[in-house]
This record gives sequence, structure tokens and C-alpha cells, in this order.
Amino acid sequence: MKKIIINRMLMIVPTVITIAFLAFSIMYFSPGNPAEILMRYRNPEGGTDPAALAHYEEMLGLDDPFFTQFENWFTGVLGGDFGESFKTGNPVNEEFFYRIGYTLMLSFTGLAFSLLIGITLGFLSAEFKDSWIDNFLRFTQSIKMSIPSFWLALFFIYVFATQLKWFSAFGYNSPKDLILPGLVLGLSNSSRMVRLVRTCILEEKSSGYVYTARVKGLSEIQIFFKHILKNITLPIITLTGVSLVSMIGGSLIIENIFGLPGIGTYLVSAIVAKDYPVSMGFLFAYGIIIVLINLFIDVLYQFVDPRVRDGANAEI
Amino acid sequence: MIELDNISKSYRKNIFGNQRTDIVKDISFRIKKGETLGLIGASGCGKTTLAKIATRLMKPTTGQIKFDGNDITELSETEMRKMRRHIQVMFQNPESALNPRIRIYDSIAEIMRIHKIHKKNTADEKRKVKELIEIVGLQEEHLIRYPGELSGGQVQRAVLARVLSVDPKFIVADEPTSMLDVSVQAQILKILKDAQKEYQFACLFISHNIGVVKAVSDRIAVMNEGVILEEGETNIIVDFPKTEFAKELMYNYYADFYVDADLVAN
Repeated sequence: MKKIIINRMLMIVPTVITIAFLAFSIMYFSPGNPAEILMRYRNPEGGTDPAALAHYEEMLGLDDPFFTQFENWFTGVLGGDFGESFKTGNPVNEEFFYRIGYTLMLSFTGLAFSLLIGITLGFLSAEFKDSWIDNFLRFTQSIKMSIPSFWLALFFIYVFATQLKWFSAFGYNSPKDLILPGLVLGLSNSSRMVRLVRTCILEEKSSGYVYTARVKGLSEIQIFFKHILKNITLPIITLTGVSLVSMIGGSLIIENIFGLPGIGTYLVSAIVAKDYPVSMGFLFAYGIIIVLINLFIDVLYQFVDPRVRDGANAEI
Repeated sequence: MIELDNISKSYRKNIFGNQRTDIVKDISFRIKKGETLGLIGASGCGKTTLAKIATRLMKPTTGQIKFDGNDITELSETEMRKMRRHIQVMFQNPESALNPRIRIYDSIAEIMRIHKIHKKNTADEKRKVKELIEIVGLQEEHLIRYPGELSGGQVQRAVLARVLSVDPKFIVADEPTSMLDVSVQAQILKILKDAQKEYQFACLFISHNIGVVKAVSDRIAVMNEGVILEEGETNIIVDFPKTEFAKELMYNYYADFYVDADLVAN
């Protein structure tokens, strides 16, 4: 097991380098001269004086060949130095660590909602298979799958914030403000979970040990929690990993709509403002978070399966 | 001990029609304390459906099930759950009979916890489990394993230990040995037989293997297409079958390989 974990960890090295390379080259090849943009930010009234521009270009090292520039940036990143924002002059990593908390909180709220909705509805759907409950749930899941999350977000803002005034529509003042965006994220990701849970439960229900459990005198609810749940955790974890990744991606849009100060909001405004160090740094960091989540899920597999976990060392 | 009277189970053929398919039709039998009724018949003739009805995992469409003199046909699930310890089942497929994610020990002990015979992980429970596995011929090291790490025969032994742990009054064995090889078959049948002598439970033993049924049963019922064709003393049914279907079964049996009845009896 240790071997597998170490193996997985080594495999992220080339991935990290690739992410860094892509993040850097996207910004490098995008139109516009960083020196000129930085100069405008520093001195909006100054115009484009060629001598000053040359000075800025030299300062940013823009004359160096592509790979030298990449190397300079990447060694900085590895040392924790992502450069400074053109716009504000603040170090990028400070900004990042301030904002990542909001994004993670939002993503995990979304994940919690998605699991809660997915497992509950999946259970109901399987328990009342082919009844009107099941049909209704399956119908609504297909509809929900085809609704884009930004539309759902605007709809929820209209209903719960503007009309009912239960939640605020914009900004972050208390953890309560995470509920609405979290719900939107969770809902738009839960359809797959509902389907997966339903299929898995139905599959397990037809196996012999479930009959055995009934013979033992367990109720259906007890059978679900004591027997079935253990056997469907693995596929649920797999999908949870995928969901979490897509939620961190999806948070980019949701954060902007709800005005949460997460990395998504900042990244979008940085791209619009051509704030190169911020854009590159945040793109890279996004990539790393996703790689880390996948690594975590891989390692988790090894622990969840009791047959792997205990091996022969178990004791009664 | 257990009585089935005029049991039928049918399904509607489609959602709208009134046509129904009968899985089992008008079946009656009774099994006394300490007695084994063998049920033979081809695959798909409704044996397993009958097993599920006899244990009330399934409700019959018509008919009555009496257990210990009480009618249990219409008991609710909740009421039935309290009865469960008295009625136990062994299923055919050892691969799925036990939860693959639960250790053998807990699989055996769970039923005693449910019926509040022993509390979880107490010394009493451990002693009882160890006693049981000795009876069924497992070693202590098997207890910490998961079902996937045991052979089919070992799993069925564990299932048998679970069945015996609650001292049931009625056991349904639905082809418990059909997936096992012959020597293991004989051993498990012997354990079942010995346990019956000691605990005096009634047993419905279902199989398509006449040799196996003959070895364990006091009486035999022959079933085909949902109906019991004939029923009687084991030797009489095996040696002097009356119906065409039974005659063919017995003919095939004598032509085929069979389990040595004496091996099980001793």
C-alpha cells in the first residue's frame, strides 16, 4: 500500500510541471504587452514613453527567451513567490491564501449538499423502485441535469433572495451566505449522484446477503445503513472526487454571480484586467488543487476498502 | 411446527391484463419438529419462491402459513421481524450469502445482537461464536477474514453457524450445497443432520440433487411447474415413484453420480 501511495505522489511531479508550463504559455502567448499594461497601472496619466517602456520590459525580463522566462517564473513559484499583482502591487500568494478559504468553503458546502441530496433521493428512488416516487425523481433528475448552473443561480437569487428575502443575494458576511451558492452547486452536481446511488442500491439489494439480512430480522433501513452502504461507498467516493473537482471549477461561475470573494472572482477580474502574475499564479494553483484532490481520493481508496486496510493484521 | 395450506403465488402478466402466471399453485405440506422434508424439482419450478414464502420473505397470493400453531400469513413486517430468529434460511450461492465488507465474526454475531441474545463484543458472544464455529468445522483464524477470502464450503459453514446461533425452530435450506464439491457437500450435510438431532428443528431441504435430498430427508416432495406431484416417505418416493416426472428424475438419479447416503448418516 505504501508503494502505491508513493507511486501516486511521484506521478504528480510531471503533472505539476505540465500545468505550470501551460499556465505560463497561455499568458505568454496571449495578446498585449505586460510591460505596457504594468506601466499604465503604475502611472495612468503617463502615456507610452518608449524609454520608460524599455525600462519596464527589462524589469520584467521580457527580453529573455521564452524558456528563461518560464524558468524564472517557475523557480519563483516553487519557492512560494508568485510575483506581485500589477494592479494592486500585493504579493499574489497572499491574495491567494486569503481567497482560497472561501472557494474551498463553497465547494465543500456544495459537496455536502450534493451528497445529502444524492444519497437521500437515490435511496428513495431505489426503495420505491418503479413507483410514482421513483418515476418523479428520475424525471426531475433529467430536467435538472439539463439546467445550467448559472441559470439556477439567478433563479434561486430571484426566489430566495429577492422575493422571499431569506438569504442575501450578494457578498459574504456570514457562513449563512454560503447556503444559497452551495445549494446551487450541489444541486447541479447531484443528478449523477442520485443515479449512481440508485443503481448501486438496486444491484446490492438483489444479492444474497441482503436476503440473509432480512432473514436475520433487520429492517430495510437497518439493512441499508449496516450492509448496503458499506458496499456502495467505493463508487460514491469515486464520484465524490469527480464532483469536487467539477465543483471547484463550477465555483468560478457561482462565485462571480453571488459576489463571493473566492479565487474564481479574482481570477476572472485578473484575466479581464490582464493582470498577468495573478492570472498565471491562480491558474497554476487551480490546477494544483485539482491534482491534490485526485491524489487524496486515490489514497482514500486504499483506506476505505477494509479488505485492503486490515489485511491479515485484524484482531477480534 | 410449520404448516403450509393451499399456498399459491401468482404475478400479473402485464400491467393492464387480468391474466396471471402462477409460480406456485395450491401447495400444502407440514413439517414436524425434528423432521426434514426434502423438496426436489427441476430449476425454475418454483422451489425458491416456495422457500421465500415458507419463511415469509414473500407473501403468498392465497393460502395460509402456520408456524407453531399460529397463523403468520398476514403478520406485518415489524411483527415478523420478532419471529425471524425462529425461522432461518441457508441460500444457494456462498459467494453472495455474506456481506463482502463484513468480517465472518460479525456476520455470525449480528443475528444474536439483533435478537438481543448477546450484547456486541461481550465475552459471552465471543464464546458462543467460537463454540459454533467448532461445531461447523471452522478455525478461529477464519473469523477475522472477509467472505471473499474463504472458500465456498467455508462460507457455507459460516452461514450454518449463523443459522444455528439463534437456535431456530425451522430451517429452510435452499440448495445449500449445490455449488460445493462432493466431499464438502457430505461434510456440511452431516453437520446439518447432527445439529438437527441435537436441536430438533424442522427443516425444509430444497435441492435438485436426489442423492443429497435422499441423504438428509425423512420425507420427500416432488415438485414440477409450481405443483407438488407426490409426497411420501423418502425410500418409497425414491424407489417407487408414481408420476411420470418423478420416475424420470429417479431414473436419471440412478444413472448419475450420487452422494453416498451412508457417508452422511454416519
